[in-house]
Amino acid sequence: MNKLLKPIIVLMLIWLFIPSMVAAEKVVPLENEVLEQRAKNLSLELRCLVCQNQSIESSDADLAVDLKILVREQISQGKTDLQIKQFLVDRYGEFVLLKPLFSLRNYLLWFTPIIFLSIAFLFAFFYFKNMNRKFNNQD
Amino acid sequence: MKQKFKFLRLIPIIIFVGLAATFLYRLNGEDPSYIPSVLLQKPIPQFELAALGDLPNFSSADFNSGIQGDVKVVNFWASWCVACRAEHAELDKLRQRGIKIYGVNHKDDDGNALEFLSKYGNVYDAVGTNKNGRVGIDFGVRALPETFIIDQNGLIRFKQIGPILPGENYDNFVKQFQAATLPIPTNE
Repeated sequence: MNKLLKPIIVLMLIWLFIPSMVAAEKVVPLENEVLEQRAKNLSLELRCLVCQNQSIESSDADLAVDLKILVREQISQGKTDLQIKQFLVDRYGEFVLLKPLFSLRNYLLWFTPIIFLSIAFLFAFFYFKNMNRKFNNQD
Repeated sequence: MKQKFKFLRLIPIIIFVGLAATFLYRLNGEDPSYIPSVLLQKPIPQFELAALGDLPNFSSADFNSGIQGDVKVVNFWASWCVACRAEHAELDKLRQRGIKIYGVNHKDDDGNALEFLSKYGNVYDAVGTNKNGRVGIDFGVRALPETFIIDQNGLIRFKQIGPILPGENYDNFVKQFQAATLPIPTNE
């Protein structure tokens, strides 16, 4: 029984992975492991434009595959990550980056949490100061 | 002292109401999936295409004639694209108005592309193929079809994302085409 079950399970597992193997066949990994890792890291920061909140690294959409190939091509050409990102931003807009740029028009976006936190601390400070005074007055 | 600062207590409520109102407004406002093209009012990218059969080909050199009113349309299409078939009749209507349409056959098989054109009619003044889709990437194309209006100076004046459907889409496209024959309004 056990002898028969094992190969069946192995076969089922292999069968399970076939779709992902077929879908990923177009992106040829770079031979240099360091560069391939760079390509993967960069792909994680790039938005899959047809599936929106997913990176191209985790997508097998046609355009995502094309962009993954393009990233590897540009890395092999010796381009920096920043240059590759700029290349895509020039064509698809900042939307292609999953993490917004730290640019002038995004200052509000980046600083709003800090501003709100500061306001909260300010309130907390006055609140406790007030409580302290009440407490002292009771004495 | 205490009375004077009592209004401060209202500030968190005011901020909350303000935020809630903003979120509600944005929620019902524009379509969040709409992302304006960064290439608008910018020159078209340089590109060359492979010929499709013996149909006239074109490249980026065919734009920017400088002749007043020489506005052209670039349409990205493929035989495998269902929405491209949906807009085919509208493209034909545009062509009958005398609008020059240049087709970029995107990641397609030549045989299928030619069959598509012979079956549904060739609406293109010139058509070329791009197998690896790089021309599409240079144009910031996300999904087919996408259609660009290029003015006489080679500037991209309008981008239609998705098919040009009868009615609102088509009317707007014609309006945008007419606007592209005039110089870019300075107050933009």
